[in-house]
Amino acid sequence: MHSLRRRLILLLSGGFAILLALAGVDLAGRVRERVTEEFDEALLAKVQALVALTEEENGRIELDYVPSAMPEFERAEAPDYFQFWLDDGTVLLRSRHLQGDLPRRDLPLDQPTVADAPLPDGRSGRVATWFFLPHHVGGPDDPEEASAPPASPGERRGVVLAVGRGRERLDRLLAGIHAAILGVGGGAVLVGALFVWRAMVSGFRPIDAIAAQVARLDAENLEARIAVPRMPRELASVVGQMNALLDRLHASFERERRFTASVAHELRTPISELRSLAQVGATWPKDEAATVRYFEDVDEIASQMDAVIADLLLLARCQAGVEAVASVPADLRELVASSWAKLAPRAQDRGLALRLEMPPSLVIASDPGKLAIVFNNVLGNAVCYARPRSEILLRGSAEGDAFLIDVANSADPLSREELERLTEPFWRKDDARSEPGHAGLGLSVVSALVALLGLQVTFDQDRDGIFRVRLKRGLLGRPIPYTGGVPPAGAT
Amino acid sequence: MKVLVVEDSERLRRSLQHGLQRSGFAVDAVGDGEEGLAFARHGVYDVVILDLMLPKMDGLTLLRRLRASGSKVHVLILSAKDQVEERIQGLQVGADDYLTKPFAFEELVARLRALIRREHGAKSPVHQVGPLAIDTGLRAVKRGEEEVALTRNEYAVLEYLVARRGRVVSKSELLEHIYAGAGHGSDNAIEVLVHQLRKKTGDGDAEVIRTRRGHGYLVD
Repeated sequence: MHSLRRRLILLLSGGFAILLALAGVDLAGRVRERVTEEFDEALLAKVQALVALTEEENGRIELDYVPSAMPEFERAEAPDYFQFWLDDGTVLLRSRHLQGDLPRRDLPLDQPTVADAPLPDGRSGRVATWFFLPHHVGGPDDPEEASAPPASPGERRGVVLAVGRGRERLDRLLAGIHAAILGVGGGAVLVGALFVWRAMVSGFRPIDAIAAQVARLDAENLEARIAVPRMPRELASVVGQMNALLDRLHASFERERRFTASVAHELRTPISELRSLAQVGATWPKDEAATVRYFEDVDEIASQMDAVIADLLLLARCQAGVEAVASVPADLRELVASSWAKLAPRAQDRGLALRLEMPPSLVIASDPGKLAIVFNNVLGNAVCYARPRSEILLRGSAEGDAFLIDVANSADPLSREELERLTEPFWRKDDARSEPGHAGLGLSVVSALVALLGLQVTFDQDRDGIFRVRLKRGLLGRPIPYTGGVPPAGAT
Repeated sequence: MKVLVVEDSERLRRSLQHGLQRSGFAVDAVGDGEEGLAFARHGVYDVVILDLMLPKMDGLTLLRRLRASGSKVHVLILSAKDQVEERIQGLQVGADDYLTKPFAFEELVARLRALIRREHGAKSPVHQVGPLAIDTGLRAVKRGEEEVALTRNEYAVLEYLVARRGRVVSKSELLEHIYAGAGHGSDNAIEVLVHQLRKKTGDGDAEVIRTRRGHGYLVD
């Protein structure tokens, strides 16, 4: 696995080094050019001085050269050199230490040039060359320096002057500048890399802290949340999402724990009953009346366990997506009537009445079998938890493929948290879980089936304690208006 | 011995009541916490069998309120909650024993008898009273090597008196502990039971059960 930190350090440091190298090369080139220019300007100034000292008088070329004024030509060690030629190539004059010739170049008049060239003493150097016409004067003032024979009357002769200077000092200077640029650049690269490394260490510290906290998380401490002091803005949203994920995981684990505990309780209680019935019945088998009753109890327990297991299997199949769904005409009014018929005895015992406000025939395309289970559970829930002697109101409406069913009944107050947990398997408001025949799976099954059928279900309770279950598919053009809801307990 | 069963499962409550009665206990049984607390406070019980997940008032609250009212009755928690913390909490709140569901009925009865023995300071289930050896574990009475056949109520009277050895027990107290609920039995029924006991155990010579006229009965 590659390291993001190492990669960033390498990329940033490498990029910085390349930038510095390019800048260094550019700077070295500019400095070299500038220094060479200055060197050449100095050389040309020397050439210019010698040109100024060169005169033509009566066809003779004279140089008013004073050695003490130009000691660079006179020193014994690494001297500069000059050499004069006539335009026909005749050497007029050499500086004192020049042994051999400087390179002579044919140039246009008064366009001096400077170029690298080897010097006669073997050194490498720069040689400035100028082809010029010496200025004309009336008569010789320093006959010692006259060097050219007189030309024909009326004719002026051109002279080529070359001045050579060793470039050791120039090269030393340039080498020093290059070394300085290289040193400063290398140091800058090192400092830059160190800075980048420090910045990465510092920048990645919150990530390291987050990683350490995440590493400490396990199923036993999911209530812990990731918190990093001085959280960078860029990580805040990531940490926020991770904490939200932990919230969901924690809630999911808690639901799982509650589910396991509920399953255990739902199994332990009937098993306790069965064991007690079996052991007491087996110990005193001659008590026939009691024994018959025990067998009836055993049958009842088996039926309840069968119902719980059937609901759990249905939930599992729905969640696994393997429960087949039909799509045939289903008359909602017929399904409601059928469900109510099964619940009517219990409803009568509790003094409950059903007020049905639906069209005579309300047919939609769906799975009638599963819709029947949904209505059985929704109405069964209402019959079980509606206040005694109250009314259950069921309203239905449909338009094309869309429909809406509302079931409303009075009920004990439910908190927001309790409303949210209504569809949690085995959840019951009564912690004692003592309501016989109710394992707390009904609304879980409703929720799973509704999702499978492509419907929506919502549960809410208004301030008057009216609990409503709303089943719907699509959008109706006209919503079902509420006209005062359900009469309170005792009103019917 | 009289037991109160507080259990919300009607079927379990019914089988417990029947089984305990057949085991020689007088049994009252109720189905919710509020009723359980009222019975436990106002009745005289040797042991309360208490479920924890009860409607109206949970078992732990019932137990706390019972102990807060000064009751020293033995309480055996009978619950599906089987975690160590839950058992510890139950015992810390004031239970004397904890049995998790599902349970063996015989174990429940054995624990009840152990609790009752503990109440009367007896370590051994066998009590020697004169020529009689009363084994409360086996619910058997022997005179020498010969077994004495007693009915459930006769044994219950003898066991109750032996458990309170040296103390006079009134007929009404015996009635309360032999017959659960109101309206069962009378002083006369107790007299008949004691008469039958004396006859079967040959009490005429040794006089194991003595009568304190106007007060009740006494086993020395």
